[in-house]
Amino acid sequence: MMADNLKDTQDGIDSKPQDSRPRTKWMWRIFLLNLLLVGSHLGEFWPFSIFPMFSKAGQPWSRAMVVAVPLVDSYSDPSAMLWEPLDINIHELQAISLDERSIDKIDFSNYVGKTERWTPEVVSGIAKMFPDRPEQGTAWLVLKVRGRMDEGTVSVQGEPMVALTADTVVLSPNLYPLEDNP
Amino acid sequence: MNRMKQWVKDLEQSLFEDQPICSESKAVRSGAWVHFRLFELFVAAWAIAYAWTWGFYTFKSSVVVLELGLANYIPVASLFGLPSMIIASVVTLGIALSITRLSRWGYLIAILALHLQYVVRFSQGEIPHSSNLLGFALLALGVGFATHKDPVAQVRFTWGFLWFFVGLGYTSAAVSKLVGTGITWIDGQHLVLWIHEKAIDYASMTGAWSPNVLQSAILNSAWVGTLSLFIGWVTEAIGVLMWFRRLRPWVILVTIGMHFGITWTMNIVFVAFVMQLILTGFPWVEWLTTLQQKSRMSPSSSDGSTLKS
Repeated sequence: MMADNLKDTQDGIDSKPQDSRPRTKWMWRIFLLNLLLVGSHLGEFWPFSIFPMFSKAGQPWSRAMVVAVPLVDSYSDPSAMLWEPLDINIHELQAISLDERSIDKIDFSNYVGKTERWTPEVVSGIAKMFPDRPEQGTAWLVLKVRGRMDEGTVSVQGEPMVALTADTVVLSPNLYPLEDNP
Repeated sequence: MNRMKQWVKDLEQSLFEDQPICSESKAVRSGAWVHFRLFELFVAAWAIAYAWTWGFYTFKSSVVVLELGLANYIPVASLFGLPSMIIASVVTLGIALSITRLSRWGYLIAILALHLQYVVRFSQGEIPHSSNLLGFALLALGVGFATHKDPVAQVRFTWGFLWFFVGLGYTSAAVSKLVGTGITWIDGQHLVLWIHEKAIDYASMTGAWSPNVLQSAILNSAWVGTLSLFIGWVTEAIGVLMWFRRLRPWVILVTIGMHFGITWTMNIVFVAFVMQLILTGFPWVEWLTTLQQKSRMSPSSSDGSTLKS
């Protein structure tokens, strides 16, 4: 049956006159539907779209990245250098690979970027994502990286949020919940 | 009003009449049929792959962050997991029914089911556009087959419909940029900011990132970035020129170039987009038919003694 159907179609292509006209009004109907759906659904009704990607240029963004740093004894001291924001040098970016640890970068960025209250559960949630730990004498710093454009100049800074060491996980003293901060 | 009507008529002529399937040459018509079948296979493979990949992902989902499309009207959270496997099966079955010509309605059922699968999968807050071109192709097949019985009319409608929406989509993207930012969108510093964003993403994923030659040039001189963005914007803006057959291959060529440019500057890869543009955007049928005719007419292929002498 399937072969017969395909044969009939092939015969139709071979023998049909060239005036087998398509019903173009259907394209215009779908075009109107497209306008209606996109207009009433914030520009997105797959596959219809106004394709707004990259339409808002110069917007600040936030991501997450994990970098390895030498461990200092005073990592829990808020004044220690470890917790100071880092200027990111884009020309030689080195990081701890999330792919190698089967961690989804979008999920991880959302977790770090959107968390407002860093409870012990949230901090241990980060630790659970990583199946391994750094070697002794090294810490993995979880950075919330923010990019922005000010008066035509681009700046990218990483704010340390959490440090993972060989045997513990520490929240930046700058992020302790308000009521815990004296 | 008359001028508008004439414009619509000319556009329809360009989209639906000026096609190899309408050729007087039987060889060209046969080639156009083979090309169309290859296109159907391409769309089928990608649509089925998307349906199952998106379906399997929903086993990880638990909450709806963003309601897209039909998700505004139905509780898509109840479609996570096993129900999404049923949706993927409907997509697969619909495509199978139409590609084998057992039913004209299969493609239409498949695009509706694939829309549902999309809103289920991407209710997690991310809206990718990498599958929109493929979506247009399946929609073109769905509407073309459901509204026409004649196989030639099905082919003509599908191509015309597809080029109309693909061209419109690219130009819409250019207009969105003007609306979202204005003419300052082309400022090279914007591209520098995006390169930084994508660099962090890439380094976070793989462990390292260093700029390639084009990225270095843009990071060192915002003018290079401004020129890149200007060329990219103009390329999108002329998308509607894909509506005209004579211009289409040239517009497609610069559009593919733009996609490679985006890949080299921002590490965003457009596999399905570029494959579909290559498969559908060039006059393969005419080229191959001409090549075939030339090889038949060539003395070396018809007269063995030419070679010997």
